[in-house]
Amino acid sequence: MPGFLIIGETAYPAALAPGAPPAAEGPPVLFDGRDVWVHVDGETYQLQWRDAITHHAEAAGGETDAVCRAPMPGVVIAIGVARGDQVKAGDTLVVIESMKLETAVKASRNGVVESVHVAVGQAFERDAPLVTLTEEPS
Amino acid sequence: MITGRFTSVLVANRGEIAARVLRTVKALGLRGLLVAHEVDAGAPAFALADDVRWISGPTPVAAFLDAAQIVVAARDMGAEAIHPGYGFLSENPDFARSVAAAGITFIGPDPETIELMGDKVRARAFVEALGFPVAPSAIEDEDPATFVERARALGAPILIKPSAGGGGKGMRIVRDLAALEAEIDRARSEALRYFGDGRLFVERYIERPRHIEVQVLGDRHGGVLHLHERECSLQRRFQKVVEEAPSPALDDAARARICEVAAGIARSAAYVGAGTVEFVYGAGAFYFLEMNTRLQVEHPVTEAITGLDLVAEQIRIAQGEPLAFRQAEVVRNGHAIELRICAEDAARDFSPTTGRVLRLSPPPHARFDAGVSEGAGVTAAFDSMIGKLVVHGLDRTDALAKAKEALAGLVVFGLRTNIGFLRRLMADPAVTSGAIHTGLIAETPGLTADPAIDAALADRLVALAAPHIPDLQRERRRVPALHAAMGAWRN
Repeated sequence: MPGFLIIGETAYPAALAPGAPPAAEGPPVLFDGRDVWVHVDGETYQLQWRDAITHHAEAAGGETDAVCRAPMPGVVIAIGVARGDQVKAGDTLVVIESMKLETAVKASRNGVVESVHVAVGQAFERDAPLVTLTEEPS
Repeated sequence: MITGRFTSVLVANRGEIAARVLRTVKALGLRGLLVAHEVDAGAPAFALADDVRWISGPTPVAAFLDAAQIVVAARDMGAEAIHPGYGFLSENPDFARSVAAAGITFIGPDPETIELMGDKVRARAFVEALGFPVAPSAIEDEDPATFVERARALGAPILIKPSAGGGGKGMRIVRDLAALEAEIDRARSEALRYFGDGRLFVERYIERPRHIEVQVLGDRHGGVLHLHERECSLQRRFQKVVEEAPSPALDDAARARICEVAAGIARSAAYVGAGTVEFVYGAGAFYFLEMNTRLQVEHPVTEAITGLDLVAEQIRIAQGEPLAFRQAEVVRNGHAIELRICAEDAARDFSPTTGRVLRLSPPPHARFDAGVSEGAGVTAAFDSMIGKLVVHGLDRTDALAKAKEALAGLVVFGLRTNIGFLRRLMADPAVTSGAIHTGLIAETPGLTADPAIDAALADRLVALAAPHIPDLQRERRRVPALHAAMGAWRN
């Protein structure tokens, strides 16, 4: 299936012509199942691979800011909300510690807490989901 | 203190320094022993160790701070000496004592020396009493009632520091003395929060300071030498990221003076082992900052310019041997640069990155002290350094060229690193001219931003990447329907 390679914010269509030669000897390149790592002219670049279906599904607005994600790896110090809580944009959801500094992760919009994905003391990686919000009840 | 020859050395550390120490231990024909936490399984040190014991704790860091557990593992493996590396328990006098109490040689200075030089305020007082330069300062403990007055009398700018501090936490620069009291209050509350100890001291702040330090070695026979200086002014978040030797800031007279002062301080402390005397340098003046009573991360630049193996020297000293050379025989040769390769994102304020190291291929013609192996995960459990790249040139210009070449040849796939940032830093005009200071990286935001990728480069990257994507390869091999139909035609 053809697809797209995402560099920074831009998606570039990627395809191989039928009968094109297989990967030639050249600069170091590695595909890890999701990203392609390319080392060229002394610099390393990380390209994200999206097959066409996934790319178009995402472009159609699958992912919203309903899920608050970890801005960096760290450990949960405190949780300020519980399931069912109504929150406003700017409210502190979770306090994390990373690089020996405490950081408050705040709600990016108004909503109701659908689930809290972490517990106090839990370690997480960057981009891990912390809290999921649903739309405010009308 | 136990001295005398030993046949085995345990490394009470991890990462690149564990592997680096074990390399010398093995080269000297000694048994190399290791304690390790399971998150580091398969790290480079494992292949060098003759025996390993697992240690554990509430966190991986806690395991390496658990002196009792490490001493038990050491006795279990029959270790006759312990090398503490840097960080963790390396400057903990109680650890040095418990090692000695177990009948094992601690490779480092005596616990009393660690106690004297490890306390910032006590070490400053010791150095000042010797008549060596320390920055004009006011120490709260000496007379808390007059502290603010004495601080004000130093004149702006001044730097407020927690007495119990380290790592840049709770430090505040005051340029306007009208804000002095408010800043002292804020520094005290930070110091209480970070260290549980609100005591402060202030010292005259040197604008755009340089960090220059001197490597010293002392033996058990009263011999103390210096191994010249290193400059470590390129820092981010108060942490060193590039170190070099010699310092581009010093002429021969200034170099001789600072090195002799460092050796004098070490001699007065009856220093035994490898240590580093750190100075702040600015406007032609230098002040004692602190002494580190251990091997430093950046020791390889000194090894490159002197041709010495500092771990081998530490082991010989711990075995009671006198230093085998005199000061005049410690000759500088060329210029060396060390670059700390870290899993961090310069564009996001150097925040740590995590992931699996899918490829790690060091460049040719450079020393690379690796802390992780290909295939290993880098987690937030420890610091972000994954290795150190060390280059040695004929002079500084040559060393900078070699640094750029080595960085360009170092391939790390699987997680974001600071390699691109270091390449830009090595090409920065302030760096190439040697006009560096500890605030340079913070005041040069252009260094940390990711460079833009133009359309031509993007096309090239896509063309290089596409053949490696299985989905696209399957597409390529599929014979198009029209061609398949044509294949069946016969005329």
